Amino acid sequence: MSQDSRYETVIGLEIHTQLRTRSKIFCGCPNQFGSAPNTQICPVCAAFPGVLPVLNREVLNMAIKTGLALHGQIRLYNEFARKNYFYPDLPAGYQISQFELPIVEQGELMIEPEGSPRKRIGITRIHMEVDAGKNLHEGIQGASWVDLNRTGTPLLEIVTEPDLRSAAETGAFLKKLRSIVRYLEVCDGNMEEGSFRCDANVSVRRWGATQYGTRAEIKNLNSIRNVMRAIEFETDRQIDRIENGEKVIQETRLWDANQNLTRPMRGKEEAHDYRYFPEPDLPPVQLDPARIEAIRATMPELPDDKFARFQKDYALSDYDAGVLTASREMANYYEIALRASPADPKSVANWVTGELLGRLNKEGLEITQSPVQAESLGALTAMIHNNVISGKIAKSVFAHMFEHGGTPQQIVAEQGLSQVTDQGAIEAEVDKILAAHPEKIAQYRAGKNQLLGFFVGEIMKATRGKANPGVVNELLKNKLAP
Amino acid sequence: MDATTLTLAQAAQALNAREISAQELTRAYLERIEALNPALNAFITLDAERAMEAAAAADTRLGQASATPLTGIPLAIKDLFCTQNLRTTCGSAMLANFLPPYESTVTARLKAAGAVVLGKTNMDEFAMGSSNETSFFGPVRNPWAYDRTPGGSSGGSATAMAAGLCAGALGTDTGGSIRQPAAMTGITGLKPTYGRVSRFGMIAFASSLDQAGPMTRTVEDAALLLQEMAGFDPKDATSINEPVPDYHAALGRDLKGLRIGMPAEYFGEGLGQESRTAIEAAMEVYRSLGAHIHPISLPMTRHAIPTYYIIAPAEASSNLARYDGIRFGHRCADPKDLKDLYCRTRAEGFGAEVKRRIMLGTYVLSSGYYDAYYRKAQQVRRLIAEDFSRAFREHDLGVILTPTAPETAFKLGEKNADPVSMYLSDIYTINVNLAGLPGISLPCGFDAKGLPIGFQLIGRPLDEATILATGHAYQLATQWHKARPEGKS
Amino acid sequence: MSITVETVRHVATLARLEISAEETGIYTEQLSRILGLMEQLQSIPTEGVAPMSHAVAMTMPERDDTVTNTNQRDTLLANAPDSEEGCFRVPKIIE
Repeated sequence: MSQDSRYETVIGLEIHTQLRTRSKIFCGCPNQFGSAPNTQICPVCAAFPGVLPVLNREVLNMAIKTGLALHGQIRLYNEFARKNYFYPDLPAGYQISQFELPIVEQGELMIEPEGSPRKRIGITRIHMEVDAGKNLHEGIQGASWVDLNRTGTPLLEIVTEPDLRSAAETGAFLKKLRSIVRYLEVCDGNMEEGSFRCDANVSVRRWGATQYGTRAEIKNLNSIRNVMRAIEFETDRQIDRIENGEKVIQETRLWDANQNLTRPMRGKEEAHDYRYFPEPDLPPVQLDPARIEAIRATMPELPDDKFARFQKDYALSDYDAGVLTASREMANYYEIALRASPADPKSVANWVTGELLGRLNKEGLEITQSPVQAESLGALTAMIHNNVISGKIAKSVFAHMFEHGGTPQQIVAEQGLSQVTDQGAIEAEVDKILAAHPEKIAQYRAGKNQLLGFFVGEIMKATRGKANPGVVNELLKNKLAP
Repeated sequence: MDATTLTLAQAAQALNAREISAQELTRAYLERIEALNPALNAFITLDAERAMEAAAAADTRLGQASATPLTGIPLAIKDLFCTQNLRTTCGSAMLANFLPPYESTVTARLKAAGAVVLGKTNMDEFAMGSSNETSFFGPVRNPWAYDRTPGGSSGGSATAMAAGLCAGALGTDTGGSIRQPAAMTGITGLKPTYGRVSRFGMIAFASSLDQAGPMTRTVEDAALLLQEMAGFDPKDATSINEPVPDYHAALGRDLKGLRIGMPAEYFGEGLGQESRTAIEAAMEVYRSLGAHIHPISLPMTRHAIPTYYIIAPAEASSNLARYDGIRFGHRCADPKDLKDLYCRTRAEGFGAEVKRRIMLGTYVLSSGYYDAYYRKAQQVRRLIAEDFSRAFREHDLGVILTPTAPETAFKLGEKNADPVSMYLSDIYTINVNLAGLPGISLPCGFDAKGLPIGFQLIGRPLDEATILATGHAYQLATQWHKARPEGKS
Repeated sequence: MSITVETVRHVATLARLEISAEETGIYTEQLSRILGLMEQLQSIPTEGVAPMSHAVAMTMPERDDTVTNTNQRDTLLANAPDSEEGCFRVPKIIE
């Protein structure tokens, strides 16, 4: 893909986040993914005659939390509205959403795209709405099937300003937003399962132009990587059209991940007229400012704040702080490990970002699935710091813990791996090795300083790595002195 | 004794005193239905077997501490309330075979109190109509004159009550659908404050206007039914969470010093002379009971019809979108694609009036017209509501007294050709729905043709007690509510 | 206010109602008359008047976030005109 430098891409996103409530937004059905079709529905989900929606309190709380995290204005008076259209996955013939008076307006999110300065992305609005069901087509002869399990799943739709200018910025934005909703524990951020979905409005314009170009809305983007690829494809497609003297048409296009292209959507061809009006079955939401303050008081520390604190309190590098605050679970792991080894935040960070993450990645495990508990990793780091074991031994203890479990204390005790720090015992080994290599002593004394490593190695070999390297060095230097 | 001539209150007393059993009472009504319903067409579905079972259970319960004034009372339910495993059609071909798997809150409460459900009554399709002629199941006849309509949309319940086919009936009222047929059939009909009674399980017409209420022989009966119907329902977000007063206890209030407002706009040229005379006589009765009549003005009155016919169809167009032939209800044969499934299913399943209102509602909400129609109507709605609150406040009124309908029962077919003239028959009741106020219609006389005339009492929000007390005092002083259509037709 | 045959057709499409040519004519005439009735509202000054979407001023009640429903698929499918494998069946949808 070659992006034409005479053009700039303008991107705005609509992100649908499924909220992790126990029950659905307007009824008492379970809010769960992956059950057999239509086993999680009730007359409200299926829009039977005469049934009514009743709002789940937690949906409001999560909307407020998300609004606060994105520095938005929380509307104390907000209301639900009906968006009317016919589709089999929308049983009522309308979606309960918010229109004129959404719960959150005017938020923002700071992104740090790789290799670029920090940038502010405006959040136009966040509103609450219901998710639709699913129409199933594949492998069904002459028909489609409707599964309403997903109907009534609470969604927050987050709409950005058209502030994004590249696939890279968009990727950075989505990663940051996903980490925030995960920090808040309002959404699990799983794009493949559809709990965090993104539609992208993409247009191009000549550099310096003040008007936006005609945009295409891209749907069916089920990973951040696909969002980025679709933006790149769409940018080229639109530039090509303009360069060929054609117009970009305002339309909805679907991303085809197999063929790596976007194509126009065929089904809902006719012009939409959603006929929004205030939902008469639900009174307006009137929020008490005290409720918002109470939620603010219980907000978890967010990635940006945690990043700053890790740098300040633990003197971590940008890289380490970034990796360790990428998720709330990661940060928790680090800080629990640190409790067992408080004197050495840098080494704990190295162990987590290096040995642990390396091994987890290799095994395809998440931090929450780590076979090595944070307390154990902390204890291991502390043992190095306190000269109980060497770094080298620690690596084998770590490998043992990863494969067989156990605490470092147990393993070190069982396998007799404690470092020998007793001066007399080490001196005896040193003397033995020196006695065996008189010619090397002579060479060393003649100026071949690198032979010190040879002696250290021999002694470590003889002690199976348990001799304290500091003590060994000290003794050798004294004894080899001319 | 013909048990079917008793008021609900009298029947309750007789049941309680074991002068009659619930089974005897229920059987008496079922027999009367069997005799009269074929001509009247008041019921769409009868549930005789389960009614007798419920009556038997009531007989066991009567005399126990758990008995209520409704235990063993046979009721007719408008076929708009969902009743579990009992066909609920809403007067439409669309739902001709619909078996709800759930029970409306109102019917559930009445059943829990021991009431006996006789069956489901005929109605205008989806409650859209003022004459009961839009029903898929055919028009209902007015027992006072079989060639006339009982009004609508709760025409089946009104006729069932007036003809003595039940001890009490349930209606719903979106623009006058309880009060107008009550007036036209000489019974008492109450539309409570919006939100006083749960809408859960009531098939929606216009959600911000719909409200269920009792249709009864007397005001006292209405109070007894409302007592069990009213109250907050966690399943309806628009139901009001306020305590329910003892309506029966409130009936004994003295009317001395009560201030009754009489709005000039309701007594203009649209009102028939005979109705005017009867209602003026009712005011004399109130004066004689010690109440004061105050002329008032509700200047927004004339805007109610256009306002209503924007808001109600708009909400209806959306509420009726769920009838798509996919999950329940009618489906067209052999749909060739999705759009065909939708368009033919709905064209076949809905009648002309319902389609007309869906079209109207869709139009006023559509892009480019929303502000001119829907938003404007919602603003005027507020002005209409403020008219009432200002009048109640400035004149310190207890109730407002108006006609219920501009004329007495009209002939079947008389207004069918002209939807606008039909819409005008709700001109005195629609305002009350727009403002969300309680209103009750009571019989106050007959015209020269022997057709009942009614008047309406409108109360402050949640003040059903005052309109009930005011209505009850009138019925203690008059005999109109005792007249029966026996031998008419 | 009178509306055109094209508008009536468009509205019928939005509302998913199949209407015949004859019905289109009737609706065009009737809807025009009904909309004519509504013209009078335009003369009412409503600037600054808050639209009233609910009959009574009330605030949103909220439900606890608890699961109270269990699987009732068979009951709900019992009313369906066409169902298959636990799903509602519709003509093939093209996306």
